[in-house]
Amino acid sequence: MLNIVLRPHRTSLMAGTADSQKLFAMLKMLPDSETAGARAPLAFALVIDTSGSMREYADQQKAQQEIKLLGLQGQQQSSDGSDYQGFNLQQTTKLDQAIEAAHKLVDDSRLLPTDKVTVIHFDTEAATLVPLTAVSQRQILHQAIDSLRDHSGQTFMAKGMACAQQQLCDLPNETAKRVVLLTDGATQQEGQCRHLAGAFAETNTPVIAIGIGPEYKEELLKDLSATSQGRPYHLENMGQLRDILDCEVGSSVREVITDLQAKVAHVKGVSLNSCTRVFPSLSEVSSESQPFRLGNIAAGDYTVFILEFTVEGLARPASRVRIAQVSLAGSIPGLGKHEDFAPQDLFVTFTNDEAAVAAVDPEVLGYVQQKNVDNLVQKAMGQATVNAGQAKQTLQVALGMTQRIGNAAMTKVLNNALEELNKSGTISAGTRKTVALGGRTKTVKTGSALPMEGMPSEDDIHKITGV
Amino acid sequence: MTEPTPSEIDNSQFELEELSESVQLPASPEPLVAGTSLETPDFPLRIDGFLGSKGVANLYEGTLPDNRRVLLRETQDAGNADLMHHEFEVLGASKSPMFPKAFACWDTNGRTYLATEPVAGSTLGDALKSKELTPAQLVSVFTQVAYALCQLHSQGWLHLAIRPTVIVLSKPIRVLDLDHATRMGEKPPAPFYFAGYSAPELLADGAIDARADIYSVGALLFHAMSGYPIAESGPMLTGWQPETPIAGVPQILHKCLGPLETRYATMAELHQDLVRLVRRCAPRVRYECVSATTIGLEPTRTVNQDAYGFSCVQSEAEDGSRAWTVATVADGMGGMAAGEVASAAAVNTVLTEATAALAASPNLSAEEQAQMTADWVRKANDKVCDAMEAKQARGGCTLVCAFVLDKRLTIAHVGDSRIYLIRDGSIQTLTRDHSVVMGLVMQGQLDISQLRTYPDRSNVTRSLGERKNLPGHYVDTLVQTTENESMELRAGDTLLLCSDGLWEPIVEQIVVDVLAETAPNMGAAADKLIALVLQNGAPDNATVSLLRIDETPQTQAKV
Repeated sequence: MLNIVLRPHRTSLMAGTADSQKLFAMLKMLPDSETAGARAPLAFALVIDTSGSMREYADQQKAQQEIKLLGLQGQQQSSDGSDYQGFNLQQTTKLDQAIEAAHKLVDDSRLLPTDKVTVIHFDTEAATLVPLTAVSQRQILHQAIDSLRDHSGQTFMAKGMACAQQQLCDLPNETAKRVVLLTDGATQQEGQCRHLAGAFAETNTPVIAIGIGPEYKEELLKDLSATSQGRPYHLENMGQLRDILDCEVGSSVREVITDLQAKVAHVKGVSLNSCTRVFPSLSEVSSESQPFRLGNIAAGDYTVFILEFTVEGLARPASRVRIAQVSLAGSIPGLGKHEDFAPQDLFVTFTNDEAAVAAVDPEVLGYVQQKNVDNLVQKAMGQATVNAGQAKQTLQVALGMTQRIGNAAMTKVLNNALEELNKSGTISAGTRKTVALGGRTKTVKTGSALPMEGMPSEDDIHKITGV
Repeated sequence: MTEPTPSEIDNSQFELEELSESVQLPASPEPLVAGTSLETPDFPLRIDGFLGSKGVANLYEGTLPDNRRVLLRETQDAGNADLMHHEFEVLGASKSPMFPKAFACWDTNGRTYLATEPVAGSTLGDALKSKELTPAQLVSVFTQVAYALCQLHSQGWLHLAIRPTVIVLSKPIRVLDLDHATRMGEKPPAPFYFAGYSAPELLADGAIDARADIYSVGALLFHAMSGYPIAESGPMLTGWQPETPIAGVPQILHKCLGPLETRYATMAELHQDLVRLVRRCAPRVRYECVSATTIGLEPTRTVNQDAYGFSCVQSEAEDGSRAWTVATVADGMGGMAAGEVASAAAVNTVLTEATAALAASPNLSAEEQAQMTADWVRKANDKVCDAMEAKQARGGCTLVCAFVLDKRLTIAHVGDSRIYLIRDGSIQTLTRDHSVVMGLVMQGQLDISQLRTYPDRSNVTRSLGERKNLPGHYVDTLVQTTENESMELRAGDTLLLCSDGLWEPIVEQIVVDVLAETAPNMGAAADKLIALVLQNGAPDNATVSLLRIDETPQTQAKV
């Protein structure tokens, strides 16, 4: 059903010492070919910000140029408590482009007729414009999407999230659910948003939190996606929205195991510090209680988690010890099964041979380093507002690591941020959001590991899933 | 939302049953007995004893034909044999006394042997655990490590496994474990990583250069200053607070542990900065010099024929620091103004010569320093002779000269003026009077206690100004009283230079008591001594110069 590899970053630890030693374990999973061909039914909740600012032209620079060229005079308008200069241009607004992307999602040929979509708007109020409706009834969905234009107001994102929760909460766990949340502003009631993200996590509903512009709070979107095992995105321009939704549909249709949960047991002298998904995107797993909810697993490529252990307090003799055991369970809705997968033991050799302790697994460490890069990047973004010099040093360390890992996309993001920091002594809100959120979706596979046993080839996957 | 910290994660309900098995140790060969003789390709080698097994290798102590001791390793494991040949190749190339010497590596009867110099002793790892070394001592160790790696790099090899347990704290330090040594610009054959000390680029694909070893030396420095090694997640230097802040260390750490392009390009650059850091860590010597003189109370002495002078220099720059002091006292003799002219000429000559000589040659060996001090006195003699000739007078002077270079003392003297060393409440005479009465004491004809009351006590047997080109034995140094040409002073030592007008009425214990009473006020001590001279009738001119040595602590806290 699910190929699982649990491998430590080094197979040996020092014997005869109670000093603290770190051990990172890679939990790498790949659905086998039988499972890969049986995807889960999908349900999307499109939660779209219809506040007044979404009516701004998507390309502000182009809009300014047209106004200047035509010598237009704006009309004073008030909306949502703010004043605007209204112009009538032949250009699209942010809302126009969001609507267009939503239409494309509904029309995506990878969606099955039985997959469902609900469309929800939020501004000062929120409403479900169309409840969960099968994709086979596209016209109803398209009409609801067009009606997004009929709304305007301030930004109360929690109300929209609450509508989405209402729509999705009664769906069985076997359904792969997603909330696609788009906003351009700072919302009221942030605490309520976070609470709802916790509720989504409980029902295995990842939030794909997409922000555009300088106003929204990237920390909030990061937290919403992390809590729910979703993904955050920062749009530098609305044109990226279509690609993101395309990518999210692509990953959704490949999800074949839903609501994967892990129990991690360990021996005395060992403690589990964290569990983090590092590929295909990076997100901390909430470790408030076990079992840990690891989200959904897609076919066709690995899903990788890193578990961080500390071994201390007990001086062990030279011996081979099982220090932990990971037990996984999840649903395979396409096969109508709920499976408890075979427990994975994590063995380590305690030795006095320093050279053995130094032998490391580069693949595992590559993922660990990507986790570390994210830590550095988040730290640097925090430093950027108070101490540009420290932020620069932290970013340089992160840059060095991404270069060594061979993550070209993240290297480019960090280079841009450093360039801006060097030139202006600060990092703009837009760059900060790009770096803080963008890095989490830019992790790469590491090491030259042998393919997992039973791994389907690319052709096999294409034949099975049509993707 | 904030993530719970690791300590908050409730792990108690998920305790796992212990499941462990003893490790099957790989087989090492059947050990050879003591007395066995082995034939290396070039010479025989005798096994003296079996030390035990380490992994797949046996360890022996042995002896070469020239009675040099060896550490012999023996294996029949192919992988370990390759490592031994590799180590032999690297040690052979290193040519540095800071790595163990490799004598032979050969294969015979299915076994491989490696004979190297045995290196034993406590390691840097032991020292960091016990916290027995001061920061200055630790930096000195790292400077030596950097120097050893410079030599290894110059032969085209990188060490790549530098960590505290492979640095033996001998003099000089020795660096062990070249198993992972790699040719510069190449990639290590297998991935490895010593947590806390290995450079992060070791985990990536790609060639490795000197900056990997530079990182490791920086990691040692980080551990020493922090009290803990770098976390496996990497060094976080921003906002880092060391246990003992030492100026210059953060700068070096950033150039060792930062991204590749920000690191030192060569180990030589790091070594240079560590040398500067050693200098900065070393305590700085400080001098305090005061003098006092009196014409005395004898009505017939209408001129003070004593003279004194001192010169203190202290400078510090990036290329190093300098500190030296020259103090001198002269007691003139002879009528017609000869005495005061002679003493002035002598003192001025010494100070002029000293200033010029030390500007030209700031770094001197002990031997050079002793020679220089004696030369100044000889030149002073020539100047005094010239001065007497110019005055057409007969006269001269005694002369004592103390030269302290950093904390190293050399002296030169002629006559019966004296130099004392006061240390920890006791007093030592560093000069032996060139006088008739001292001659009688030396011959055993007079007791030393009678020296101050003997009738002809003022008759000197040697003085400056009698003739030019003094014979070799004429100028005394420290050798006559200590058998060494120099002496290392300590913080808190005081030198006292004086004419007989002071030492004659003031016995040594009084000097010690006055210094103790007036400490730390040297000026008050000098004034009190002169006051005591006057209280005792002061039949002669009297002069005292006090020179105290102190140190300003740079970094003395234990790390």
